[in-house]
Amino acid sequence: MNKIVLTLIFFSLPTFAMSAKEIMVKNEEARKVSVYEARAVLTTGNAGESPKVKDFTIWRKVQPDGIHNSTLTRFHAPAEVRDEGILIIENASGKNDVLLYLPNFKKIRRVESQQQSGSFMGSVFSYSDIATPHVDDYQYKTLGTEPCMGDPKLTCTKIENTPANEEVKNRIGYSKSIIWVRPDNFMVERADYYQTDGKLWKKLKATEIKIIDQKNKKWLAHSLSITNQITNDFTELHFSNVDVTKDISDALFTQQNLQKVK
Amino acid sequence: MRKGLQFNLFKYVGWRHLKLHPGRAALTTLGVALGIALYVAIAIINESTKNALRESIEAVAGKASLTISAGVAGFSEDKLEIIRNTPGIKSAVPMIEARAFFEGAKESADGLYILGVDLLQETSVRTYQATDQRIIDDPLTFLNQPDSIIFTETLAKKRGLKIDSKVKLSTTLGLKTFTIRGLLKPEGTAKAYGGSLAIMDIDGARMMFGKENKLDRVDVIPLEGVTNQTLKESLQKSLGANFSIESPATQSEQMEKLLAAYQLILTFFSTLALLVGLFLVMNSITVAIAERKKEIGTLRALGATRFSMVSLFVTEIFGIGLVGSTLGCLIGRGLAEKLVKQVTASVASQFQTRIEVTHLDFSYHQIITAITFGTLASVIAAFFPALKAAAIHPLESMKKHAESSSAEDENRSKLMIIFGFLLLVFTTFSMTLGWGKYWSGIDLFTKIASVLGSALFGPYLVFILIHAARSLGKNTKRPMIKLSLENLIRSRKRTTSNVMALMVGLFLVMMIATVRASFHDTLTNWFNEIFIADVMVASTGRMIVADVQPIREEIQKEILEIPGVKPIGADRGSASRIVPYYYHGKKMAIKAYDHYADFYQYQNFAIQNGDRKKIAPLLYTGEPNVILTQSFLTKQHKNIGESVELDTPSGTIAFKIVGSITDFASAEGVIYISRENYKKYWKDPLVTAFIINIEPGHSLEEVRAEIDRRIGKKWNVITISNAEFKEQMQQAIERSFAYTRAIEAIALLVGLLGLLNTLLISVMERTREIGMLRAVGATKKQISNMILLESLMQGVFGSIVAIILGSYVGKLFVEYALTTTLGWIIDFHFPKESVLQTLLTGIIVAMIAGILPARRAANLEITESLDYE
Repeated sequence: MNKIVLTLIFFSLPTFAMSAKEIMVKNEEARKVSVYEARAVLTTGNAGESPKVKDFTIWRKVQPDGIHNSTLTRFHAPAEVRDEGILIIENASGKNDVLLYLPNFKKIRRVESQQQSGSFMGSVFSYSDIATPHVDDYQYKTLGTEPCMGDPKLTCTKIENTPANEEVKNRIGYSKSIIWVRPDNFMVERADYYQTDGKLWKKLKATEIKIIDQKNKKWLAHSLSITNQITNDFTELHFSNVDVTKDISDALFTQQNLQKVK
Repeated sequence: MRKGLQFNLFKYVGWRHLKLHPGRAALTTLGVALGIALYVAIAIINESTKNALRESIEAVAGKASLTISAGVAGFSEDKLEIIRNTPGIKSAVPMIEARAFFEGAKESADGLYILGVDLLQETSVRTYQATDQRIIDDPLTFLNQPDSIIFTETLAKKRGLKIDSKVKLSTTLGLKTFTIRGLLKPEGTAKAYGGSLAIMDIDGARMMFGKENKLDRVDVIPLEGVTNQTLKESLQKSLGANFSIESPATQSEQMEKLLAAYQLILTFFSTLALLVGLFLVMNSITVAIAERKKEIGTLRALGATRFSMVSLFVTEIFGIGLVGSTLGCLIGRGLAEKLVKQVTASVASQFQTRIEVTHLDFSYHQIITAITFGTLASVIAAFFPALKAAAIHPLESMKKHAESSSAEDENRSKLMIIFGFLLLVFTTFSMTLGWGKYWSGIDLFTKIASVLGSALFGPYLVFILIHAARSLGKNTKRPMIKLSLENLIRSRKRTTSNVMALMVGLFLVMMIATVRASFHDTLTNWFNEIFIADVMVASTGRMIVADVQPIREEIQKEILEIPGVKPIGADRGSASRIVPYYYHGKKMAIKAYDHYADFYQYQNFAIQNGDRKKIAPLLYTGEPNVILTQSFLTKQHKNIGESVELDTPSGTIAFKIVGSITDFASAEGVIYISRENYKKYWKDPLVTAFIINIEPGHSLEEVRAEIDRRIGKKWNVITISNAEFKEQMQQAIERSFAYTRAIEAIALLVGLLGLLNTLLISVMERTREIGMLRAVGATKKQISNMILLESLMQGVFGSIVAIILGSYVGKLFVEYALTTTLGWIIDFHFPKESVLQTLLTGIIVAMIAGILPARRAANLEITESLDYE
């Protein structure tokens, strides 16, 4: 999710003169917020079914290495999931620690790495979508330009991302993705994700791309919509009350805090 | 003999004979078919049961190379980290196993297995295929809600359930409502236990089934290049000796070994049935050949060689064997379908292992083997009579009176009796001294000897009875009785054949009845004697095999507050815990009781080495002491006063053996222990049942109603009265032997066919004699009555001898072979109710078999009859 969320940030130089990798470096800079807190609503469903809505708060902070993030989500509604928490600690090894807190059992459970390419808690997003992608994890190829979906006056660069190695491929579960990067903020506004057998799997649309940190030129897509092209399952994610000014302690991203329910 | 002549001989003689006597050929064919059918049915059931077990074990193990477990009580979840940190481990995923029952469960089929797994870790070991795109629609809700459960599609269909259905299941917290949040396709793990399973998240399963902070098993996958053996050694080193670390293949083998003894009994019965079938083939051929003596003589006189005669009969029987065996395979497949539920229910009762045979395994290999075996056995059965017939000189064959009582025949008959007697002597020694354990060939020969010996020696006993009847009835004014008795004595060979045909079937019936009666009476007596408590409180399920959901010990307090429940003293409870336990790979049982007084106030436990009031308290000194069953002591070569090392979740503990006891809960052995020690070493506070007595002045029904009202629904417990408990026991035993009724029926059918066949032949043989009787004034009715009377007498005397010999061999089997195989000391009980039943059945079978020949005999034309031969 937030790979995509934070990919959608940046606005700056014209992209046509830049290589695909240079554009993606800019993309990472635009979406990488050192710290933020936001409220979010996650809606999942399938055509013909009544959608399920979950309300949660998300906290994200860049780790001291300046590259990897720590993310904590705490669910508020519906009642069945209230106080559940998910802590994602990205690691340099690429194998993220994903911990889930279940308040009814007062227990923390670990999500095994093999499962991280799978669905994130029943949504169309995967765990690896939730964690942020890093420039070095992919190889890039410019496929051309197309009018941007969000603003047809702008020309988006179409880039193909392929995992840099097998380990990344296994972790993310995609064989490749094609993204459309806006020239004004370097944020991704569309993305197509392909299965390991080459079939189109998911389609993402990012809208409401807003600047959240004027000083550091950081952007966030406040509305994300992703559809599974095979099952027609969909997930929508809306952010609100994004706050980048809060002083968030590192202690928030610990197991002890994960099981602390206010 | 010219080339092609052999074919012509079969075409014009053999085939013509079969066409002329289609009924008789059909009877012989059916005899082979029924013998093979039972053999095939048991073989199919045995194979399918083994495969179902293996498939369940492999399906649950998934991709795991090794499974770590520590018995029913499980082990601390802290061990998971130790396992994961053991060098060579790639993945290690935990599991909780539990058994639950649907609301209002009455039988085993109302139960299901619960696998509590870590769904966030599972994919490395087990895969699940959802009927929908995802196994769980909403994992956040699923994982956080203890009522979340995933059913297999198979089970959901069976119970009319779907996603989001609510279902009530018994748990250690009482009857709880679960929500089905996913359905699994019948693939991978969902195929285990025939699909009678449900998946829960591990934490939910722990909470619902009283296994907080525990694990029942951990399935591991080694890193590439690490062998199972290396990993097993490392794990054993990290965890200690009291953990079982086995591959799925070894687990399957262990389970198959457990079943082996049981399947041996089934195979024993089916082999006997097959032998009976083959014996009948031999008998039919012998009689048929005797009848065709003249035809043989003619052919021999026309130049047919002995070889061609043998070939003729062998070819005929080859065809009958082939058709009979093929038919037997078809009947056997159908029979297996009918019997498999009864057999698996019986196995489940005895081994406390759920086996769901969803498909019968009947491979081409098995079909070819059965047909080849049946055909060959028929040919072998026919070979010796054929050889004997071919050896007769043509002149001798062409003599008018085919049935001559030559001195040679007399001698042969005597030899047969002696041989039969010797075979029975051999059977006696082989079974009592257990020769079968030295070589399986002896075991098979003993089975053959018991049938053949009885068949050869039995007619001698029948003749003694006939002679006795003749002496008793010499003054009778009914000439037909005299004539019939004289006929039976005069036509010794014919009578022998008829009696043998009937007797072997009844012999088998009586033998099975003896085994059943002995088991039934021994277990019932034991149980009636020991269980004296008024009421038992347990969760729904089948209490008798401890196949119930365990309950919480806190319930005791609430039970004791109920008016009418006899107080038990402040220092004690009356809870019991019964769990299966593996000792050196053998499945045993542990029985733990709260107080030594349970051994005589609630149960009259049969302690063998002294006064139970003195021995039982030794379990409650705080020391690790045990009382073991005699079967444990015998099989494990232990004595009272010695120590026995038991693996417990707290380590290997040396328990001192302070007594021996009679208990049939497990053939391998039962370990009695104080519940205090059980809780201490096994760390399992759950309870299988509470035992209570009713205070004088209160009625049983009043107390039961109050228990139901106060705690019944709350904890999902039911009350079982003393009488009901005993009734359950009775039913469990009946269920265990239900399948033997089918074997008895087949044996009787084989006997009926055999007798019908031989009687028909004997009427034909006696055509001239009957014609003469008619010529001297005997009416049709008198002839018909004479044949029926002869048949009746053969039925009565054959049945009496079958009862004597069947119960004798059954006694040997019960007291020796079964004791060696099962390890239980079963007392011989004469199946009194089966005696009348067998006698009546024998008479009815004989009468049915006699009707057709009697009518045929009565309807013979006098002139044609006199021209016969």
